[in-house]
Amino acid sequence: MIRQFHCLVCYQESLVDSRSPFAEALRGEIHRIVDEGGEEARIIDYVTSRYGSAINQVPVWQGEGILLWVAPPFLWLVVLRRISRLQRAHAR
Amino acid sequence: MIIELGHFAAISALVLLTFQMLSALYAASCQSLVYLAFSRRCLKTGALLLLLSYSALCYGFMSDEFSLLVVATYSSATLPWMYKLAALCSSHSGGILLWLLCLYAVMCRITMNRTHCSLELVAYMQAVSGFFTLTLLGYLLFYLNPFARTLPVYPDVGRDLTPVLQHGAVLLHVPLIYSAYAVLSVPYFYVAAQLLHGRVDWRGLVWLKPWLYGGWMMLTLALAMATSFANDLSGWGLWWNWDPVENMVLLVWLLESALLHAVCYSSQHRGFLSFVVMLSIIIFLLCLTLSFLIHSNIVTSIHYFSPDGASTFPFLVVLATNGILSIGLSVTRKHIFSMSDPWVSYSSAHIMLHGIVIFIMMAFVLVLGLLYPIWVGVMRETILWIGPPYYNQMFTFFMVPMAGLMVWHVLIEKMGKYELFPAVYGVLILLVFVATGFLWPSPLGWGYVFCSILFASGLAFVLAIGCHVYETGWRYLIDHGAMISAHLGVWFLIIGAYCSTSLIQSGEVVLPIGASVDVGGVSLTAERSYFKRGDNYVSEVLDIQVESPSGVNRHMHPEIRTYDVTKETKSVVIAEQIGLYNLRLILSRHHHAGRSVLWFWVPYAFLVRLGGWLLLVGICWASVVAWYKRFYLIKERACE
Amino acid sequence: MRIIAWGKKWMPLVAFSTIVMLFALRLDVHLHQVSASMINKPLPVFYAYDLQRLSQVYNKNNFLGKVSVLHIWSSWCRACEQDNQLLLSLARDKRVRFIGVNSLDNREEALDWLSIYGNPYKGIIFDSTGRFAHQLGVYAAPETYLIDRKGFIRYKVVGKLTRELWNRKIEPLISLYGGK
Repeated sequence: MIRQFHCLVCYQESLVDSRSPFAEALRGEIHRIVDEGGEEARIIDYVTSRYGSAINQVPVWQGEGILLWVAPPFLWLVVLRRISRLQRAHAR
Repeated sequence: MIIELGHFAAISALVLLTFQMLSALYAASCQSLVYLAFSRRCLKTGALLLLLSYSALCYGFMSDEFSLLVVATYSSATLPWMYKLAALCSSHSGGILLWLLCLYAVMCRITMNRTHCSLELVAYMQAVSGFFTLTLLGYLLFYLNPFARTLPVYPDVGRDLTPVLQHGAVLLHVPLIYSAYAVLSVPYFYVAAQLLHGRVDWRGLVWLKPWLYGGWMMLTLALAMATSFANDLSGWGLWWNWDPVENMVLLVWLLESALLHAVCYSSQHRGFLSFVVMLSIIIFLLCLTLSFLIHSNIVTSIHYFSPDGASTFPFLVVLATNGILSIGLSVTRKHIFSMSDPWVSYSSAHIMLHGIVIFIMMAFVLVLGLLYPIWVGVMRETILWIGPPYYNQMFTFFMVPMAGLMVWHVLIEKMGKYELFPAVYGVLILLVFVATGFLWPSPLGWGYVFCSILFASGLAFVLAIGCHVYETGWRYLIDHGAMISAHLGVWFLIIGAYCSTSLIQSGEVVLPIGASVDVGGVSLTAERSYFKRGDNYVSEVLDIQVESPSGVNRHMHPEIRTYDVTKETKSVVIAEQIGLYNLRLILSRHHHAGRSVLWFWVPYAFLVRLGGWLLLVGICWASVVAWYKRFYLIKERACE
Repeated sequence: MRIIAWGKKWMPLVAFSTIVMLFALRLDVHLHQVSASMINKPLPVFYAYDLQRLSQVYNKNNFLGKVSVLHIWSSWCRACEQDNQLLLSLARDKRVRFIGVNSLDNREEALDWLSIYGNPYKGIIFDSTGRFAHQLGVYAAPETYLIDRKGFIRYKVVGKLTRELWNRKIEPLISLYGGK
């Protein structure tokens, strides 16, 4: 589950893979919360309250992020429609 | 003194460039051979001067001339000489100077060509390329002077090249990228010249093919270097992690593939010409934009340049000028190339059209992933990262139809004969789906379905090739060998990428000396730890013995290097192929019990390498054939 | 209809200009706020020792009564050297109390660093484990926090602190929250 968080210092690495002091300390904190009996929601809340939602690597289904998922297939459909229209126009 | 000579040479090159561009424009409008010859001479002299300038900068690096700002920032006295050259290429100003040098080389080559005989075309090409080079060189000399001194402060030791960049692959990667940028500008120069000329001579596209193939080969090599570099970088864990900067190179690569396919088919169907024009301009602008984004640190990653505020806005101006010129040209002269033949349904050209569209869609995904964080940065002033999950899923989504199209295209001429083929394809997919359920240890979710389709497509592709060979004999393999090799390479690459990213296992174990730990079925024993001295670093090495149940017994030596000048550390990733798996070890932090070691099990990683090699072989083969064809075909055509 | 046709014709140029403008705007932005989540919240409860005088202890109460600037630094962070120079000149401002946090560092190296580069701080919290930094939401050195007289975090700068940033963003906040 820790894998879903970014390491903010080393960019592409997830919190599991990173070796930076920040990542190690944060991993330690999360393990401490787990030992105290906290569940996943509490950990996510702890991390995002301090570092913002951007730390969550699981992508962007809410808000404007949904545009990123919808735009490419939508554009593809538009282009396909245009091609088929051109074909029909030529066929006539 | 030599540095000052180099500076003077660069300034003279700038002056000559202005003359070259203006006389080329005049030669084109008045069809004057004299002015064209003068322009050519200016170009050649300018090239020599820039070479002199670049050599002076090289000399500055090699002789540790720390009063030069570039040398003081990127190099140090203890750096091995190869990495000093790498530092030269990796710096802001040195890199752009290298780019300019490549541009000059390219310009000399395209204007020396006497076989595409139209005078106006050559003159316009010189003018357009001259304009671009002028803006870039002007920017370099006025705002990002590579010969700037740090005086009155005289540093006696440099800041050293970032340890992360001290890697063999970086030496090749950076010059390859810049020369690829220069070569990929050639289609744009050609297209812009045609547009300026107002008349179209599309038979000349055969002249463009070797340039396209050359540029593509350089890009592929550059990407391969980058992945090999990422492979050895401890922080990445794998060979491709959708780093924003490498994404951009992939973006150009995808569009370049689309352009190449369009050019190859433009003789069959004139509808591809508008794609050629559009893609040439987009690729050229992308190269410029990507350099801008990287150099200005808007897009940050492991490629980190020391930010230099004053010089980034002028680069944007360079980008804007060239962009407005190129796009303006294409928009105002659209009528010249917007001719089209009818698209016959399910013909070879039609399928190729859909293939090109998918390439462009994949590129669009990458563009979105690039622009969205910038947009968020401007609107909300926060940093946002688009990570692998987005790219992986989007690319899988587009790869599936692409795979199907590839297979279909190979068979399309024989489609009538092999009516059963779609049914066979469907059965194959089902069989692979079931087989993977038994062979693979863990289910992959939706990816399961997609992967089965990809697997099955590869097999169907081989089957389709087999059908052709059955019909026409072995000659088919030789005629289309490049295409087969390249496409098979891509298939292996995708399968390898998919398998490694989905099935990778990793963890961290503490290994005290003498202790043995079982990791993924293989036992690791830390034998001893010792220190080793390198050129400019001291490394602490852990000797680990790896034993697998199948009898493999090897030693691996992961190390952490501490560099003398900056005291920065870098972990070196050590990888070993054990059976079908790739075991990678990274030395990590100290624990009270001993060193901890990060381990990665990457299955089927060798497929990635195999795929890469096949792809390169295919591209090389195709470029040799294209060059050969051009050489003989154009020799036959007389000057009109 | 003519406008639509005109728009369709010039769309590539318009799209390109929009993107270029986006880049131009982005050049101007300083990404100094990763998240606004700890802003306007009180300082977390903590207990830490001073770097130089190990007997001295810090807690939340040390931050009351006067506007404070909390600066997170380490001896292994290169950008902190430049920040320190700026802080030395800013530290003469009597309205503000400068407190440093030496995070994830070795005490001897930190003291050495101070003797080379100077000490603008009234006191330095020694946070060797990084626990306090985590509670604040720090992820990279250097970072700067502005804390008002009641102990609430009001602003955060990630990365290098520049004089321009100080004048443009932090000065107004100091006048707003504190200094008489």
